[in-house]
Amino acid sequence: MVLLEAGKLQHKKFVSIWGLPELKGIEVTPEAITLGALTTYTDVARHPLLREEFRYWRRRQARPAESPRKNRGTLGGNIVNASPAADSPPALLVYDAELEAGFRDGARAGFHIGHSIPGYKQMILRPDELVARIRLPRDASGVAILPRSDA
Amino acid sequence: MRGYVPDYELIAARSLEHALSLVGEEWRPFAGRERT
Repeated sequence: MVLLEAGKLQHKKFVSIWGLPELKGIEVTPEAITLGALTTYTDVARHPLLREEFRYWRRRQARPAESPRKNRGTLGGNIVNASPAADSPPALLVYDAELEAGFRDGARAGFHIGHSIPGYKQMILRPDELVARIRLPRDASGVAILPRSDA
Repeated sequence: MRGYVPDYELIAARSLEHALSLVGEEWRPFAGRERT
């Protein structure tokens, strides 16, 4: 968004998806929590089950950020930006998150986030695809949070 | 007041189908509010 406002993006045609209800919301089932790509950092931080069951992600989210970014920054945007400095993708990788993408004639579901970001600012998506949802399996039993050593 | 207005086309998708159609035509998705 900063680059857009500064006029530094080469691409000139943008479609706003902010108003699309299909890309919003957090759905909970016994097996997984599925988040729309437009889920904001604030939505994540305020969701009781995400706070309770995905503690490492909660810690990543607790890093300082200004409120406008938390309120407008989206999970989908954070993923497809494919920045190594992003808050969410490392946690989503730990929790084996799967992505679902939509395209004009269908959808592609169940591809692991770890197979989607091959390098710096690179995201494996077809040019006509849009990340629609992020699915988090609710079995985080294999995840441990270890204290960091600064030695 | 800003001294520079970026030269972009920015429209709001009417539906997910509309958005996917535009993305297929090389429009880039953007989670921002359309200009009014």
